Amino acid sequence: MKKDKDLLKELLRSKFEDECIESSKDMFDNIYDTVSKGTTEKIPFYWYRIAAAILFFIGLGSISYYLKENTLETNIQKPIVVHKSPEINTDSIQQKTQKPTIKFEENKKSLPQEKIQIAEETPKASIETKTKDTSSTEKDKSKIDVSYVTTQKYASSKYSKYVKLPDTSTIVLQKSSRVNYKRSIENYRTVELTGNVFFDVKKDSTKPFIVITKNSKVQVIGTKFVMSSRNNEDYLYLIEGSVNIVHIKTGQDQIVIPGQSFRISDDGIRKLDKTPNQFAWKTGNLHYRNTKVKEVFEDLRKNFDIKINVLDPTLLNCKYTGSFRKTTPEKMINILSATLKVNVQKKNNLFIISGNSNCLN
Amino acid sequence: MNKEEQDKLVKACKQNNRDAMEKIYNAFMPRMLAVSFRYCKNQSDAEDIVQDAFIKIFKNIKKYKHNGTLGSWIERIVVNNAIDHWHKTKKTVLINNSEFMDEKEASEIDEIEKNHFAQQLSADKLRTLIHDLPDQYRYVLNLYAIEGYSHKEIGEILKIKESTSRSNYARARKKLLENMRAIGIEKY
Repeated sequence: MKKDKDLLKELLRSKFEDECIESSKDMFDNIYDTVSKGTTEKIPFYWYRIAAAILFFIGLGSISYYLKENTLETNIQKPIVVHKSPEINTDSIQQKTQKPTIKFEENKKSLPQEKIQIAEETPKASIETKTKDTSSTEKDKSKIDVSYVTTQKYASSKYSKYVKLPDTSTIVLQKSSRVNYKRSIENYRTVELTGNVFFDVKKDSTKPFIVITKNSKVQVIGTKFVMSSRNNEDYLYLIEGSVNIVHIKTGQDQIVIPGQSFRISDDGIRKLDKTPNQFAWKTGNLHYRNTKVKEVFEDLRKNFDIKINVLDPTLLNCKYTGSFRKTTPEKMINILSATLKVNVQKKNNLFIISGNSNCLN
Repeated sequence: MNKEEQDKLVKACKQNNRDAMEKIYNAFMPRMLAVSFRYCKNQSDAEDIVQDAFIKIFKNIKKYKHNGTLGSWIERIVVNNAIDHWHKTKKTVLINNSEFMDEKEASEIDEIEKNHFAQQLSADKLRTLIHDLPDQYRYVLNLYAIEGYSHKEIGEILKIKESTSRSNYARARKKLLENMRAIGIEKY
């Protein structure tokens, strides 16, 4: 076999060793053209390619950016049906109807005393109608500040909304909250806040993260906290890490350690013994002392996206005192109904509370 | 063309001298066409391969280090180009089946038969016989028997296993021998 192999190999080699075939055409001109062309055109061609690649990436980036913005807007514009108990509906209608009458008075009378009263009342009313009638009042659209990466993000009105900020920090927005995220040239990450928002800030010591509300500036180093800013009052509850609150008016500053809650109002920063109820969606803690049941239900609605229908409106005026820790809406309503001696039926997210109020006050 | 002459031409080619390039082209073109024609089935493909190879050669002539003859350097580039061409165009991958396997029947070729074939079969005829082999067999046969690569090297070049190359060669050989006999049998 070995010998045999060699023989065939030899045969093939001898046959092909010096074999030549005359070409059917002369290709040298072609070859020379390509070779000399290749040497002169090599450099410009190279640059065109880089330019094309850059254009392509810019295009890709802008497309993805606009797509992202579009999805954000559609999220916001989704029509949302909010079920409410009849009492509250009439409430909000009343407030709505009240609003124009107040304005009417304002036009009519020009007494300074009256004016002050109205000035105090109108913002409150408008905010309350806004929170209750979220589906229709959410007319603002996200604007894009062209100067730098700035996006305005709104929560959907029904569910809390998870948003990843451009620096990969996570925020969770509750109903009708707004966050304007900006990156300044000095590398500050600033957030203008209204509403009720949870922050999980990505640690980056070269880019300080600052939350600005009406009353305070909060400087943040990688941490988790909830903050709300409504009705001229800011609340802050720190879960992890550390933040520094600076009161804008007085310049007072306060370092917060995890677990503490603070109220920042017009006249200063005050430490709270208990976590504010509007953070229950994050903390699960609620505290009441002689609070109307109506407000308790309102907190539950805002925090947990549930619907509560109360058949007997007088029940809403009962007072309740008690604390809940790490609670869920189901547990809480069961405890509430037990103390108030009423019955509860649950259908999906809707709690129907029936029975007469037995409370005396 | 002796070695000194070649070196001179190569030097001139490095300066992008057209006459020198043409001389090299004319000297090696027929030989290279014959080489590439062993790999692909029709002459126009073979010519394309050679043309591409010469473009590569002149573009990269600065990399030619004068070790080994210029002819073998050019031939290597042509062979590589032919393999690239095949990789680009191949649509079917030959599975290592036993279709042609019948090792026992492989009868040996002896000196007389070899001489007979050498006389009877022209290079042209032999080439058509080689063209009748499946692509992969043809490449392995060409690379191993004529170009003198080892099976290990062939495995690396064609991205197949060394053992596959070995068995492909055995089958290619056997098939070629059968075909040769089928043609030359009357006169033997």
